[in-house]
Amino acid sequence: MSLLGKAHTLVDVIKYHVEKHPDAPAYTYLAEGEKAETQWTYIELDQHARAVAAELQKVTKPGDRAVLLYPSGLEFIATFLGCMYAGVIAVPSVLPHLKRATPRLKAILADAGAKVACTTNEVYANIEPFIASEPELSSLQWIRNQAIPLEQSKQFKPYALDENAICFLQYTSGSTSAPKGVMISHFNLIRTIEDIVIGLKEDEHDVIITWLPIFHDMGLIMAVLSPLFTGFPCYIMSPVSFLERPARWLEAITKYGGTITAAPNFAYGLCVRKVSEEEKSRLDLHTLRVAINAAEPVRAETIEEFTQTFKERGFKYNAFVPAYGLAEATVKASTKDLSKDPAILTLNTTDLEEHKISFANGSEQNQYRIVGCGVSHIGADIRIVNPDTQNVCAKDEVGEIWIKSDSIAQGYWNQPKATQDTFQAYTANTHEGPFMRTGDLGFIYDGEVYIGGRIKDMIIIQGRNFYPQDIELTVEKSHEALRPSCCAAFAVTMGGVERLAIVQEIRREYRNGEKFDEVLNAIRSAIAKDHGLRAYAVALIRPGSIQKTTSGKIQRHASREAFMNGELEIIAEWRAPLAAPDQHQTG
Amino acid sequence: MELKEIKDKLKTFICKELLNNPAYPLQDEEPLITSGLMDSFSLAQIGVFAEIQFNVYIPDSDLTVDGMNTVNQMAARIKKDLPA
Repeated sequence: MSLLGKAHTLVDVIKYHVEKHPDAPAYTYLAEGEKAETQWTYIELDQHARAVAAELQKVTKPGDRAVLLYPSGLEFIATFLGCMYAGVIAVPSVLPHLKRATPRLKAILADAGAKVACTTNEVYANIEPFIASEPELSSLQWIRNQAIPLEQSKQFKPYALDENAICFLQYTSGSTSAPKGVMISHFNLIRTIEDIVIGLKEDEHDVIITWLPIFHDMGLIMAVLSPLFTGFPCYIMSPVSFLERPARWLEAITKYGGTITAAPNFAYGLCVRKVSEEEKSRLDLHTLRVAINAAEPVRAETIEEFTQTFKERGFKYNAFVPAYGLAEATVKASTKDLSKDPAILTLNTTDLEEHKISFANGSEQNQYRIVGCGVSHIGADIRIVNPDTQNVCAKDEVGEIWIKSDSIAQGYWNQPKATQDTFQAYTANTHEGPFMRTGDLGFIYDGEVYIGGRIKDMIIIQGRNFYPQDIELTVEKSHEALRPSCCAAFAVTMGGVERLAIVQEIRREYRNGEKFDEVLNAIRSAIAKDHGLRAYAVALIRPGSIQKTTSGKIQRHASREAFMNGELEIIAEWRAPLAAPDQHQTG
Repeated sequence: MELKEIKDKLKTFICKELLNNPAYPLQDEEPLITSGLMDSFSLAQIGVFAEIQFNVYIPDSDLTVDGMNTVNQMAARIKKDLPA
């Protein structure tokens, strides 16, 4: 029997598995990516979640928000589910690193109005020294999993959940200064999981292997919660274990007979470059039937190189499942139809830049290969709409992707205006809606969604999203010689990979100075410190020369174009010793 | 430049800027990222430091958790691209 169409919340799902196979393994955490450190069966998972829920019931009431600060591991899952049991709204958050300033965490705490913070003993020990000096942290009620006795699970008082209530807030939207919490209801969550389960044809014989960050939509829902729904084992390692030695990911698939996994494009490329011949010789990837590739642009070259490298170890090209999604759609918008190979179109780039789709005629110069991201499996209504006129686009036009489906979130927490703008869009010419505006550009061909860039200026590097205004603020503040509000941060594509470029005006009184190296160094150091990112290029330009709109807003696209065409009035510049950017930009 | 000098500069930078603890007794072979002492995002700072301090550009393919987990590894990678 399958739970499809029968479960209203994940609490129903766990109850079902606890009755059906209480002692089957649900989650296993692989310490250092290799050793099976902790394993929980369904009944243990239920107990841990109930114990946390009982603890939450002492200090919260249903609807309160609890922020979750966890490293990869099973404690996070217990607390996420424990929040659900108690009707508390979970707010998964990036772990504040030891000694690192946490403006984003503070902004999230304030926006969500969190009352409780849940974490582990280890994380708490790291944060403790600075809790007292941070009012946002000291006003919270702190809960540590290890301090909760498991017997406390018996004190949990069952709470009747409404499937339309908010289950959790996903803070992936908005810049650091103005984070937006996407409100996911229980119904949204169940429907997106059903979309995944149907699309990937998941059944109880599957085994999933994941190293994705556990607090993000893709790692949390696709990799951790979808196996819970169907009832098959999930093996988890930390992102650091993977990055330290990427072969661990493929070794875990080999060892545990992994059938499903998921990662952004860069991770597949990393395996091609980093897995040694000796490591490769021990791999057996024939069990892997689904390798999701999502969260950043899917590159045809990467999936081909990965297949070429690992086919001798049993990897099948057909296993690649390009996918598209976003937090505003809970996680999934589309995944590849499993009966097909990945669809790759070769388009004419000149027409593509004009937002027209035409197939390349074979000349090498101006063509671009784009990978299809599949279809919805819960009948989502996906449209391509002109973002300016809001008219539905013609078949051969690129436009903004608009979606209407059961998995579209309830809006942004406490942000009625932003919710209205993003979640309540109606087409101008056909008066249909409401649709959610994704901010992504794309088109539909042969039923499949293709993603061709973004309307928003968001910069995506190695699967991490950066808001240009956050980086621009860092740059401005890095040296006194820089003119405030006269900076543009944008991405340029190099060999298909996005890299950061900065254009910044120098102050008039500094323009003939001799300290340009010092200024460039300060900018580069500040970006690395605040964002964990290296700029590819930093250009200091003449005061008054950055392109702005009449209302004084920075025109990032115009700055990028001027940068690409060598039309900036550069006073001093630093560039990494790398090849020049690709001429075609997917942005 | 001697390896020792590179290591000393790296250690001073890491303890002061990344660990916020100039007095930390950092060892040459001490794992920095896998131990949780530093996070992997700090590698960007190591990269920029190498560029500014030693004029060595470490490409992304080398600026990784497995290749830059200890002061010894970092210093050896920088030394490789320094003029003899």
